[in-house]
Amino acid sequence: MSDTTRHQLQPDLLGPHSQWLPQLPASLYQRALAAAQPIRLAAGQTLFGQGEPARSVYLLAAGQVYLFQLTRAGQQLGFDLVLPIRDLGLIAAVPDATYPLSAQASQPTQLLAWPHATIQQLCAAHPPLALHLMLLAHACSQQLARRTSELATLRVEQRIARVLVQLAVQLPAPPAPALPLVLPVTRQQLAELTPTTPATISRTLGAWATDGLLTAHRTTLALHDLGALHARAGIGPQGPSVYL
Amino acid sequence: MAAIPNAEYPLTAQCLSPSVTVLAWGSAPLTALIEHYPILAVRAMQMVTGRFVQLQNLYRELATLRVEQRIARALVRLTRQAGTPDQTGGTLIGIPLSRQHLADMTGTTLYTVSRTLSAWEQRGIVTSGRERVIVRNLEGLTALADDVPPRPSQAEPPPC
Repeated sequence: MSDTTRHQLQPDLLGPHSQWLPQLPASLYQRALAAAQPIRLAAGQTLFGQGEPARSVYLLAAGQVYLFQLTRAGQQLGFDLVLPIRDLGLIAAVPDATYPLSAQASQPTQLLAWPHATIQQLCAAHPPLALHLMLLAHACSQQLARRTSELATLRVEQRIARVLVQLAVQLPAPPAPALPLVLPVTRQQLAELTPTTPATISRTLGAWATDGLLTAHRTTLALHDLGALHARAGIGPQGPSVYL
Repeated sequence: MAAIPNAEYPLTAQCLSPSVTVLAWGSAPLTALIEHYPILAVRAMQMVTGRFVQLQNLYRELATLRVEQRIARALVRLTRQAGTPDQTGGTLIGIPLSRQHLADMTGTTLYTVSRTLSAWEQRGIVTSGRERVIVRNLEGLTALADDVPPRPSQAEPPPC
């Protein structure tokens, strides 16, 4: 499991209660693990598509998943780049729901899946689970509300920096000092997540590379100065726990 | 939100009319209700996930539509939800709607909303007064909401 300290820095996650599975009573936890279906995806494979029936709740165990929505014009608006260990597809706890976003593996990825019926059985056996799932879904809405507010009010450079901060807090806590932090994100994904044009991404990353903040590679960014990134995001030096 | 342990209210709810009746349940009784009637948890989860979908639509509009289009869409939605015939032949949006509210709803500034409404008033599409909007030409407003070609989503959001 990821370091809980790392989770507590992330205002959109819920600290030590950031996943529903570990909160189950011991016997039910074993039952839930036994009922989980393992899934392996290659990089580029789709986990679920926007608008599809939401049949399963997922846990990202290894790899990376990119969440995005499609505009009517067929372009991709990025929502989140998710690193382990995180829940996905929580909406499948609701009967007859559809996934509001698409999810695609951006690296070789391993997940666990629970069909809707299994989730219902677990909730019946342990009613607080239903409330916990709601808490987790609420956190997703809060994240989206924050991003909407940022899109309306922040300069593009601040928004680019915040996407990178959101990714950095999901990395497993390294032994200190741990620089450079390797952020697994492509320029295209960064453009879709901000959202902005690829040209603006290139211009901004070029300027930040000149400043010594990062080095841009083909599919990753090597971050040399987390404090400087926080400054460009408009976040206090203590980090994202104080910026909301 | 009270059903969610340790949650904070994410928004401020403010009464728009002078007399409003609200039913309230504390967090503990609500939790007990949900444990007895699991269907309530399903309904509550549907509400939470419904909010996500609404926010997603708002985010997408903010990322892909010009500000005039977003304002027009907000007014069309409000007309559908709260429009009543006005004695001068238009449709009054039946809730107090200040320009600041409209700016907040569409992710722009008071200045841009004022400028846009003034331009539309000159074209006979709306009439707006203090906290009051009357739609005169719903067809024209809908055309503004729909027919203006959307910006490519990869472009910069326009200066608001």
